[in-house]
Amino acid sequence: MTFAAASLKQLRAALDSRQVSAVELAEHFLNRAEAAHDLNTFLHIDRGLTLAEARAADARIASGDVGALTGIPVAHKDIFVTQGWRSTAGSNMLANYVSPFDATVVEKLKSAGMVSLGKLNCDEFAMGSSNENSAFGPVKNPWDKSKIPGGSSGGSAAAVAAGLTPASTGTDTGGSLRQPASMCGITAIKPTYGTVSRYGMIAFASSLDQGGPMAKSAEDCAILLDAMAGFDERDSTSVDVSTTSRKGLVTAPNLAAFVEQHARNASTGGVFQGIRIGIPKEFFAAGLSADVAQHVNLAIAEFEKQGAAIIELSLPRTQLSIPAYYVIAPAEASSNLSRFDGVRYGHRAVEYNNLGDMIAKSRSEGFGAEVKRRILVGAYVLSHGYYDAYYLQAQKVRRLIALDFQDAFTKCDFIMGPVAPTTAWKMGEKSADPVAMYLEDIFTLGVSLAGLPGMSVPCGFAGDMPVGLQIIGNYFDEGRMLATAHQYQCITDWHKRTPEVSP
Amino acid sequence: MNGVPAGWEVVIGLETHAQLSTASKIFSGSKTTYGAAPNTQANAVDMALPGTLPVLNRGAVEAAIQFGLAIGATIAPRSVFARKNYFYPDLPKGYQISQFELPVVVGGTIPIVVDGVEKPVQLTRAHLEEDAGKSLHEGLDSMGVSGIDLNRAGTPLLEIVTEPVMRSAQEAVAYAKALHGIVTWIGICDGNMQEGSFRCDANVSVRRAGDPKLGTRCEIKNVNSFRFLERAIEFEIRRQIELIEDGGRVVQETRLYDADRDETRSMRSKEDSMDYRYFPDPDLLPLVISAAQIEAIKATMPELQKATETRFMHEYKLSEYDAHVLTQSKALANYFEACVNEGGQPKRVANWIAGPLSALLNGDDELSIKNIHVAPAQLAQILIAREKELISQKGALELFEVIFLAEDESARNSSVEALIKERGLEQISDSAAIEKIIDEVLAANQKSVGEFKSGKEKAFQSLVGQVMKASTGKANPAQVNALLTAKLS
Amino acid sequence: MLLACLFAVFNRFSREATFFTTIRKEFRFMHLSLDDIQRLSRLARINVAPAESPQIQNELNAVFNLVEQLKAVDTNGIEPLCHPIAAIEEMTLRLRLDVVTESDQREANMGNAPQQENGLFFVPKVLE
Repeated sequence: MTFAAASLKQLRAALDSRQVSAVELAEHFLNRAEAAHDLNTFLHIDRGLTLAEARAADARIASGDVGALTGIPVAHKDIFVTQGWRSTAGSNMLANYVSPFDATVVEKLKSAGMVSLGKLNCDEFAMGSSNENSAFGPVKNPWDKSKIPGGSSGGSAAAVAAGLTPASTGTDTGGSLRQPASMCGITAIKPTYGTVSRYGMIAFASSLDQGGPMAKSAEDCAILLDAMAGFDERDSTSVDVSTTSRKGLVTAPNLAAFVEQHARNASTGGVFQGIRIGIPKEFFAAGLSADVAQHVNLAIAEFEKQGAAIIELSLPRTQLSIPAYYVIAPAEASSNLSRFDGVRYGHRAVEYNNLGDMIAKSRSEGFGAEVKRRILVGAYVLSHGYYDAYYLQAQKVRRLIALDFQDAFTKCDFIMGPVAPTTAWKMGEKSADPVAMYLEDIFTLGVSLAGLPGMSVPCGFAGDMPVGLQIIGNYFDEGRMLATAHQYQCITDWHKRTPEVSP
Repeated sequence: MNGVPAGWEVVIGLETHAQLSTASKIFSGSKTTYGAAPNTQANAVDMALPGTLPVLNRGAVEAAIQFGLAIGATIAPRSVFARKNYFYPDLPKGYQISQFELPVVVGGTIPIVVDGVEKPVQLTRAHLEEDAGKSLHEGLDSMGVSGIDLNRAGTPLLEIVTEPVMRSAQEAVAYAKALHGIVTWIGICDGNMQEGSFRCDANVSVRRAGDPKLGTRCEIKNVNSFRFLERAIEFEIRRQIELIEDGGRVVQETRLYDADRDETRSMRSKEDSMDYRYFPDPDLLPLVISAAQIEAIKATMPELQKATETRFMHEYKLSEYDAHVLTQSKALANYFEACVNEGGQPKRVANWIAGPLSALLNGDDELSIKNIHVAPAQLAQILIAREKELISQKGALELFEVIFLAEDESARNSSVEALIKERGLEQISDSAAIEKIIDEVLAANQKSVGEFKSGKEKAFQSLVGQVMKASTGKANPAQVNALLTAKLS
Repeated sequence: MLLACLFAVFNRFSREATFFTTIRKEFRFMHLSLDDIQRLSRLARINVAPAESPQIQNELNAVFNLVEQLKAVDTNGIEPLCHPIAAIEEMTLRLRLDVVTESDQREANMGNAPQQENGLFFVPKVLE
């Protein structure tokens, strides 16, 4: 076992047995990250900051103040604000921005003793499916450097896949955790909306944005989510599960223990006995590439072989999730990004005629093409005379989409299907046609609109490129999802494959 | 009589922004105190730093409910915060969080009285929103810059909107004063117009009498006193009528009142500024208020102005006028009742408040009652001493003024009894003692005695004066009069 | 067996035009005029140079071709969904107590200001 390929539990054991110190571990990954700089995963590394956190973690380990994550490195998507490292959101607008506070997620992982390696590249303001929208250059897929890593959490996915960090944080607005995880062959979970605090996440679309972990396995994700999730009084949309009708379910911080216990109790005969898996026919319709379909189907067959009941069902409004999403997300984004006006922080144009000119120039120079496009779309769908036809209608369709899922969950425990219609594509292949790229989000958008938890689990390779299986659960059912995914990973080894990364 | 030219009708609606007297801001835990050094009371949320989110202040919601209850409005069981999108350097998020389609308070009525006629002013709605920061220009002109201070950003506001039911500047002012009275009475707003805690915008239009169609309206902003409100509206009425009479047309616009020139002038209209792209704020969920919550707040509400006025008339046997004067502010009414509870005779307390106290407060500032140094117990004791003839009216006034103007704590806290002694204000009401002084004065002023006896009434007053002077002002003047009359007859 | 069924479904669809091209061909309207682009540009404070206006117009119209299909959906009596969990139960706003929790953090909060002096953010003169 190398540290780069190790699971979080293995790293824990190595730290606890003093086989390695937190400082050594941090240096090991920083060295790897620097050696693999051509992947362009990291936007900001600061050895001093990282090693200070590592020394603090070593002190905690020495004093016996140890949790599951103490001393283990993590790197954050540059959508989470951090006090020490720059927080750019992948945008020239915030190229030099340093936050005076840590995001709740960053703060929680820090207090769990994790050592931050720095900030990870992403599509500008998390808008994109290929990472090509980063102002700081695209991230390369470690499985094939000529290909995109997926997006928007492309840096987070590629860094884990390449073994530059054992774990990373990401955010998902329309598939930004699941799709890059799928394309980079790692595991990620977008939890139920409201599970992970949005405080300190640079907002893209407030009613959709949700943070989550990216790692090598479901087991690692469970450990990470236990530390990341939790009610936050600073986020009005944060949900205290105990006050909802879903209070009986296993949620953070008991996920990892549940996953472990579940694995112990699983019968050897068929580990998925009693589980009903819904297969929406719309997820296997045209547009899905044959090789992806083949591997997803093989994975589902594996579940069936191990005792799961496979139920064909319909999510009739799957296709509508694209237009609904591409109205709601730009609308919220256009408003969320209005704060970038060159007044208090961020890019300010050098030359301008007056105040209005300063604001318009600063925004026009600071934002990239895709961000500007979405701001304009958002302004339009909210503008006088169009609001009802677009925004309001999209929010109603959104409810219908969410109700379709609820209907489906009366028939099954989980819904499974592909994450994305294809594996990672060549860089530049779709960048000329933004709408073509929007269509690639078809299988992830519905889950985002409904606020449901969704995972991507490696389930095979189409050629040399990884394919992800999407597992969708009902609200706050992350415990059972992670346990099931872990069971799958106990009987498969797709998640253990690693790309060769030249140093 | 209402200042509107014959043949014309004026239609006025008011939008008032009342800053709510909460300790912290509407969506953050920052302080709301006025006058702090720039940007020291604006936290990351108020400055809209990336990643920040709003969390609604319970105090602001309760204030809105109290207001709704005070004016007999409906408290919406479900209301929604929306984003009003526009760019302005003192608006940090690029949108203002406000309520649009579903406000927290709906309807309600505030009665006004103009020229003795009572008229109800119907309210459309009242909604919660956040204030913006301030753009400062002073001393920065030469640099071609403005300074942005975000201390005020996020201060809770209740925007109170009337129906267009007022027909003159006088009615508008009467409404504004009545509203001011209510919000300060229930304590949700300090009402300080100079500091911008209570800001009125007036929508004014005119039409020919009998015309069923409303005229085009202009919105007047930047009015920071009742007097200016009246003058601004009057100017605007004249301007619009003259414009139409000259064959012109009123353009819908926002106009600023310039108090120095006593005129309104057009604000440069901002392009596309009308399209605010309102939509429900996805960072905030619907605000749900239960009947139980409303009942709980109702139970903690102070007695309202009218009810207090009526109670004062019955409980303390005061005239309607006195009761009205005493209920001009909650502070005044409280002060009155505290004095009575300390033993002051109600009518005397009322007279004293309406008289000497008001005079000292300079008549116009009811707010300063909060800051006066004379404790209710002290005023009560002064009045009791006066009632018992222990001090003269002049002595009582002197005492009151001494305590009122005292700069050090000890004088303010000293007992009235001690102060009477200390300042030698005890009135001499002992007949023997007064007679002794009279005898001495008569002996020394035989000339005046002679003049009096020969019929010169003026000489009597001169003798009274001499007696008072000899007693260093302490003799009970009524007794002096009576005893002197007896001696000289 | 299921596998076979799924493959059948997949194959049936892939023989037809893919639905991607279907949705894209169904609607071909010019939703936004060049005037609209200029209006949005002013509204959003995003400069669109006249030269790039037609391209932006094309791109936005492509997006609106995509979203046009929303209009055909019957949403009578359907409430908009403001918070995802509201799909299964009523979600209401949580309120914080009215207490001051913040101290002066001006220096830290203004650390990224492009121009500032004496505790004020400086901007080009505001004309009122």
